[in-house]
Order: sequence, then C-alpha cells, then structure tokens
Amino acid sequence: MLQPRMARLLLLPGYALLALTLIGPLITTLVISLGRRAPSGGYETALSIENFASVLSRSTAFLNTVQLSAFGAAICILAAIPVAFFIAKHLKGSVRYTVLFLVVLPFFTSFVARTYAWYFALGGRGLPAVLEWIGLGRFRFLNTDFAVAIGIIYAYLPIAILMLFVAFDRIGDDLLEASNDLGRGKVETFFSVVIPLAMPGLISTYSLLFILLSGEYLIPMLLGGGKVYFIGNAIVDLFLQSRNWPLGSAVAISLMSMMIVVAFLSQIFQRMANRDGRIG
Amino acid sequence: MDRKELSVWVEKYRRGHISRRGFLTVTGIGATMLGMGIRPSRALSQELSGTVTLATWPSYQNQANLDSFTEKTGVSVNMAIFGSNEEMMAKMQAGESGFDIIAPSQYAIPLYASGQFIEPLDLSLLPNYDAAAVEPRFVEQGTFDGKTYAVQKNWGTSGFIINTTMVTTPFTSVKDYFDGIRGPYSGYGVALDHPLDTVGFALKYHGYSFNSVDEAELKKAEELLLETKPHLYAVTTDFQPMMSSGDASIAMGWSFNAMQLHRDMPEIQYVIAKEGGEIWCDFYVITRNGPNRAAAYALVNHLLDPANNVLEFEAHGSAISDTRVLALLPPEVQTDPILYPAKELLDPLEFGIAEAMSNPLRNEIMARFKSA
Repeated sequence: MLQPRMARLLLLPGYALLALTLIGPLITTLVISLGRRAPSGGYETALSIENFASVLSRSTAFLNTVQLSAFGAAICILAAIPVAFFIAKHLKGSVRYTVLFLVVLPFFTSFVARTYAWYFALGGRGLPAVLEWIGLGRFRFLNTDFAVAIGIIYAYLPIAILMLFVAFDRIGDDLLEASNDLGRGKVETFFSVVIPLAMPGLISTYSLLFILLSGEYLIPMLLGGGKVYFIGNAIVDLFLQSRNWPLGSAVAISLMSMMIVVAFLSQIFQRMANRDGRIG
Repeated sequence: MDRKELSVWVEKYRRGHISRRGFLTVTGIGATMLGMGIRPSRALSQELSGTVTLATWPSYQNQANLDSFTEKTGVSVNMAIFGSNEEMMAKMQAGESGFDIIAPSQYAIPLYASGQFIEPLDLSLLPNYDAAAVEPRFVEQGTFDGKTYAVQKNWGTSGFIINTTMVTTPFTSVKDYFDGIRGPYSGYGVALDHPLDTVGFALKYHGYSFNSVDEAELKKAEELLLETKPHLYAVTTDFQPMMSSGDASIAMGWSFNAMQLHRDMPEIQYVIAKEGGEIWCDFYVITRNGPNRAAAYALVNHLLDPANNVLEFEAHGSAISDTRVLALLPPEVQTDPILYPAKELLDPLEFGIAEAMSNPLRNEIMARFKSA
C-alpha cells in the first residue's frame, strides 16, 4: 500500500493538468466577462457586470435551447428504453455485442458529415420531394424546430441507448423472475420493477443529454438555418461575428451556471430515486 | 484564337493536361505578356522553402495556380477557409494566426493596417502588380495612410437573387425585398448572415446610408429586421442549395453567388437595387511577422500574373478590374450584366467602411436579429 502522503504526491500531475486545462480557462472566461468590447472588437480591460445584464437580450435563444433540449432528451430516452432493455435482457453473447457495436457505428463517421446528410435529406430535393411525388403535398422541413429535433434525436440516441443499457444490465435477472413468480406479468414487471430500479440511470441519462444538448451548436446551425437558434450559436456569433468577447463570456458563464444547476438537481433526484428503490 | 478555343486550353491547363509554359505558348498569352513587358517571374525560387498559408473564402482560389506555384518554388500552399471577414478578423485578433497572406474585403483593411496586423507592401517584390492597370477606386481602397497595404484580387456587388419562376411581381428595389418577404413571399426569403449587408440593406430601405452608424437610423433598421425575421426562411450565407432546390425564392446575396446560380438555372436572376447597396473588393494582404514572408510575396506575385489571374477568374467567377487580365478574357465577359453591371446601377453603390464593420451597435443589432 502507498503511504497517503505519497498517494497525494502522485495526484499532483493530475491536479496540475486540471488547473491548466479547466480552472485556468474558466478564470480567463470570468475575467473577460467583466471586461468591455474593444472599439474594433475583442476584449478591453474593465470591471463591470453590465455584460451579465445584457445576457437577458438573448432570452429567446435560452428559451429555444431549454425547450428543444428538454424535448430532445425526453424523446431520446423514450426511444432508447425499449432498445436498451431488449439488448440488456434479451440478447446474449456475441449477438449482444454485435448489436451494441452497431449502435455506436455512426460515431465512426464525422458528426459534421452526418448532420450535412440530414441537411440534404430534409432539404427541398430530399424527403419533401419524395412526399410530393407520393402525392402528400408540398412539405418544408429545413430550418424548423422539427428539423433540429430530428437532428438532435438522431445524433444523441446512441448515447442514450448505451447509458440505459448499462442501467438495465445491472438489474439482476433473478429480480425479474421473482416478480414473475409472484404473479406479475411482463408489462407490469417492467413498470413496477425495472423502471424504479433503473430510475437513477434514467435520471442521469436525461440530465447528461440535456446538458450536452444545451451546448449544441452545429445541429441548429445546419438544420435550423439561423431560424432555430441555440445559445451555443449566440456564443459563437458573439466571438466570431460581432466580436464582443465580454458579452460572449458572460453568456457562456450563464449557460454553464444553468448546467451546474441541472447537474446538481440530477444528483438530488438520483439520491431520492436510490432511496425509493431500496424501500420498494 | 477565339473564345471557345481559349476556354478549351484554359480547361486543359486547369486540369493539368498541359504545363503553364505550354499554355502560355499555345494561347499566345506568353507572347502578349512579353509584348506588354511582363515576364514570367523566376522570383526568388532559390531561397524559398517550407509552407505558405493563405487565408481566403470558400471556392475562391484556383488549385491549378497553387499547384503550379509549388511546382515552381517547392513551397507548399496551405489554405485556411473562412466564412466572413468578421471570423477572419476574430482569428487575427486572437493572435498567432500563422497566416502569411489573407484575402480581406476593403472595409477590413483599415482595421488590419491600424492594428498593425498587416504590413505596407514592398511593391518591388510584386513585379506583377501594376496599379495603373487597376481601376483607381479599387486601388484607393487598398491604400491606408498613403501606403499600399493591399493589392486587388477581385470585386463584386451585393444585391438580391431571385427565382423568376416563383417571384412574379416586378423586383427592382430594397423595398421589393423587405415588403415582398413580409408579404406574398413570406417564408421564402433569405437574409445574409453578414452584419454589414443585412443591417446595411435595412438602412437602405429607410433611405439611409448603407454605412450609417447613427443610433436613431439603426433603431429603425433593427425594427425592420425584427419584423422581417418571422417571415424569413433562413439567415445564412450558404443559401445556394436552398435557392436551387426551390426552398427559397429571394435571397440577399453577392454577385458571385448569383453568377454561379444563374449559370445552372437561367431563371435565377440578379437584381442590384435601384436605391443602391454595396460594392466590395477583395484583396491580398501580407501579415506582419507571418511565418514565411518571402514565400508570401512570391505567391501573391504568382497569382497576380495575368495568365494565372485568368485561371483565378475561372475558379471564383468574380469580376476582375486588372485591364491586362480583361484583355485575355473573352469580350462578352466584360458586358455580362451580373459581373460588370451598367454604370447607372453601380453609381449609387457604396463601399462598406471599417467604421460600419466594427460599430458595436450594428453588430449587436445583427446578433439580436439572429437570436430573435
């Protein structure tokens, strides 16, 4: 066994790396957010919280982000539950790992390329042309909430499946058998045994998806066409287009604070679910 | 040699089927150039090495020219592609960009020059640049504090691109754009994701200067933009796919976009608004303390070689004002209404200025318009 002092010493490089790559940039962002936009753009030293007051001018983007993230994460979970449960409880051996491999297969292609594929699929010469040819009328999908939701669900579903697979896999088969022996049907067992036991996993999956989605930028940019606009897009614009780094930093810090609150709530709910799981 | 034959040779050269020397000989351009006192430069080829990085716009350079430069000098060319002057400037302001040459528009040049990002050009290293061959109004835009900081690449205009099968009412003005989108063409209009143009045209709608930084005028422009936002199909610079698929029927855009769309779909037309709009010009400038200064000059010089500039024209399809290049291009190019619009349409156009690009309120209006 290592001496505690020695162990602490060995942790130093890790702490140094963390300070350099996480704490350092965070402090930089905080300092910039208190500054002022230089006359031709960028950052100029100042000490003011004015930028945080201006964050409210991006409330539509915040609202868009929260709504679509909450909705997208919910749909991802609902779609992932049956798939993940099937893989965890009905597939065995090599078949199971082959299917899991297929779930992560899309990650082998660039995310940008896959999202661009949707851009063309949902554009006027894609799906709408097919629907029109069938005789269902003229549809337009691109640059709507619908298109962004499709992009989100497509991109984040595999993550949801993987996380829920772990949650379901942990539930012992004996518990399901016991429930059956005590006279509960499959559907009833699923809702009264599996779901409560998987609840902490469901909560952590939902909050992780929500946090990842709130920072999304590429999907709204390509499939939202400047009409569906996330807070991530607002941050990119503030840095690259209007070159107002202080306001960009203030918006970034506000977004981060929101994510910290979500992560904190998620912890509380998970603990509650764990306790309920034990009692139930 | 007629136009058709020339374009066949240009195409052969572009695809690398013949060498640059062969191209110059067979087309007679080499002889013309010698007659005009232009010699293909052997510029500094012994001293050059390494890599040179050129920051430019999408589909804006001819790869054949970059390849021939590498072949001649051994210097490989790296390209960094940007979507806007604002983005390019953000990268330069962040420091250590690693770029040797950038291709900014006229309104960014004073900001780069005053911020010490670029150097006054040593014209002795650019023997292929002839200021007398370029239209004075463009030369002027590349001059700052009496010094030449930038040499002209190509120029163009900002206006409106319409699909005439879908837009059936007469379309000649900025009014037609904003009123059309808020009226019969609701859901089919595109605004540029570009503060200078989008805010500029909203100002023009009310009869103000494209470059206004007056608070009261900008407020009216913002109101118009916010009213128009719900009726728009998109706010983007990447609207060409939307126009060709029929998802959009009116777009604010640049002349080279119109050129590319019109070539494939003749029903797509370009309108320079009668109230005016923007004329712009892109340049080559050389960064201060760039990693490979000698190669940067050599590459700019190479691209300004009139024969090479003809190939550049083939690639970007934007107007060039260098008379030596025009002499090598088929005559109908100069009468093309999209590329070289009539004087009475050009006269009311304004060059975008640095003050408008950097103005905090204009930028914030654009940002609020996008997040609305």
